[in-house]
Amino acid sequence: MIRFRSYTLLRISCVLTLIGLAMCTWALIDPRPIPLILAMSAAQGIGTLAFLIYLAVIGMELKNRGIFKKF
Amino acid sequence: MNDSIMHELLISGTLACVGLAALIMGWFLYTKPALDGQTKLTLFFGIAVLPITSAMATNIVGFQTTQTREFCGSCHVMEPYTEDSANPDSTSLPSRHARNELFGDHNCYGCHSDYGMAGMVTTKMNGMKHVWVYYTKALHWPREAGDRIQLYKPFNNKNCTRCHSMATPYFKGVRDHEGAQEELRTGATTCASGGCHGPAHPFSKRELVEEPK
Ligand code: HEC
Ligand code: HEC
Repeated sequence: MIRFRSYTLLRISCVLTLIGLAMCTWALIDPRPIPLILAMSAAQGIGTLAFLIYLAVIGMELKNRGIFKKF
Repeated sequence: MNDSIMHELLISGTLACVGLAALIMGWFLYTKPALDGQTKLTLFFGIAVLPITSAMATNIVGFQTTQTREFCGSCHVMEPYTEDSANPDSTSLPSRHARNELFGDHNCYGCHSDYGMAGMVTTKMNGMKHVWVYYTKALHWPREAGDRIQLYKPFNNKNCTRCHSMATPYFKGVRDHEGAQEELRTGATTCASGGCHGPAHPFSKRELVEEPK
């Protein structure tokens, strides 16, 4: 169950990362106001969210393995 | 090395980072590998290292790009301004500032960015406001929008004096500078007043263009 949820979350994180990267790419190859604003705001937020999801998944896995109990 | 080559290199490098990250994402989504340590480490590069690098580089490229005259010309109502600056025969003050190798291709930013420590931030905030006004109001204005476009605040002389010192003998040697020194300092008289060095954009101040019905 945990494994399944982790996997799904990571896939969501990947899709979010791809969306953020697509926005950056748009701004890099077509540097007009709207693409630039998106890349420098929304894309950063989406990318951060993706990274936080990744961290949460890894954190959960470590917790399930009892890694934190040592401390 | 030339600035614009650096800019291109930075863009290419960023695109490479983005591409690599996208490959990792594609690999994970498509082949659905087992979630072992190696996969997690690979994902760490794909979700964290490469995208964060790309995002930072995109911001740098973004800030550089928004300072260029070409970027200012992305909105059609700025085209008369950017074309005037790009015209080698023009004698307007901005166009005379467009031929300097150091800042010629971002001369708009040279005169129109706020000075001081928070300058970059306040300039960008104002820029965001301009974009908003452009898309909500100005999109259907004629290219020569005339008096409909005004500065929000009177032009600050510090935007000239940060490059042109008022302390040089050459500057002081000009009789009008000498007489108006106090007003120039306080901003009561702007450097770009008509009869002095203005109007800065001579073509822009004419009768209001008819409001489109
Ligand atoms: C030499 C400095 C200088 C440069 C370079 C310059 N400007 Fe200006 N600009 C001014 C000044 C000074 C004013 C205020 C004009 C006035 O009050 O008469 C102004 C006013 C404006 C205004 C307000 C409307 C108007 O016409 O007064 C716009 C829009 C503008 N500039 C756009 C631009 C753009 C776009 C560029 C780049 C192509 C640019 N400027 C380059 C000095 C400059
Ligand atoms: C980014 C720095 C910078 C700013 C800002 C700037 N100037 Fe200049 N200005 C220069 C340089 C450099 C030159 C010499 C032109 C050249 O060699 O390209 C110059 C030239 C001039 C000249 C002589 C032009 C000629 O053709 O002989 C005048 C007049 C002048 N500036 C007025 C102004 C005024 C007025 C402002 C403010 C509205 C202003 N400048 C803002 C850097 C600047």
